[in-house]
Amino acid sequence: MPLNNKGFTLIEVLVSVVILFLSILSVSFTFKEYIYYKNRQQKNEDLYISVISLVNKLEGEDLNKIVFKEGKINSFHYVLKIDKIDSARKWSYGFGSSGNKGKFLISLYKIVIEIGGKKFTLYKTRFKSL
Amino acid sequence: MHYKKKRGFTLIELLISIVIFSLMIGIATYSFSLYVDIIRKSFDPYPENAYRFSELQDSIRSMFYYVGEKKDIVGDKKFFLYFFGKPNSMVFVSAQSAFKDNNLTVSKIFIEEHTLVLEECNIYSCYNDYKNPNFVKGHTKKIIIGEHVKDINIFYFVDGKQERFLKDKIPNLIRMEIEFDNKKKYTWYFKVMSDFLNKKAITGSLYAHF
Repeated sequence: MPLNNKGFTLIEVLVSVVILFLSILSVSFTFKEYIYYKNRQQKNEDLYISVISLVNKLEGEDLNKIVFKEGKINSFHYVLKIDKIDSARKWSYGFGSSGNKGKFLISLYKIVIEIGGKKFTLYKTRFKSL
Repeated sequence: MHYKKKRGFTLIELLISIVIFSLMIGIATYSFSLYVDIIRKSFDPYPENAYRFSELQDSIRSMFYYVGEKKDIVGDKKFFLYFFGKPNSMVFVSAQSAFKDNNLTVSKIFIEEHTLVLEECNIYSCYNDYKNPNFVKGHTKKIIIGEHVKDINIFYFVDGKQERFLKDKIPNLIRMEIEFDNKKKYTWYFKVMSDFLNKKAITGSLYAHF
């Protein structure tokens, strides 16, 4: 059976090259976008977890002793600024015959966390028996 | 009158065109799936890792001051606070099930085949002993917290003191250092939020009993 030895025309080759180029370009663009969003998402998640971890750590610390603190957590550099906004003396009553449970001091603190180029402000209260 | 040559495609031409066509369809499908993934992730209110972290945090924060009961060699009853902490695993009672069971669960955090796992078992069920709860085979549920985890190091803080092993005491703060297979390291802190008054009442009575 004789084979057809006729090659492709220039136009056919050019069109196929253009189609191939366009498809490669589209895939590479999509892939770049995907990597960019994935990294951004990963960074946001890491930041979220780091901020929550820092807040958890602060829960157990005496806020009076911290005014300014710097450190590193999960490859993020962070700066903590804590201001005592207000304090008030209060007392609590028990039910029935138990009477006055005692006096305590309630303080409100403003906590500013600067981490990963973002700023988070939160408020915390602390109780202290008098 | 001049007629055009009516020759059709050869088998080879047809096969090559089918291969090229399928390749292009494949590329297009792959691109589309990537785009769909991007869109899904950008609209996802709970990113996957953060969601898993929250599940773990909820479980640990709701750690329960659970008093267990066991008998010593003589046969006398002994009460103990249910907590067993090791450098690479932790067993405790939680009031917040990751599966929203609305029941107290005995929970364990550990590494199993390069996966950080939270395992739970219901305390108040017919197959468990509520006095000294444990993990009953076939009645546990597992949730994956992290994949490709190489190592985990847990530190327990009790009244400001750091411990590597902790038993029959509930820590105030827990630090977890997690190393992934890609050498990324994370430090997570978890505050145990058990009620102060409960803690005082329970630990007070426990020590008075002994």
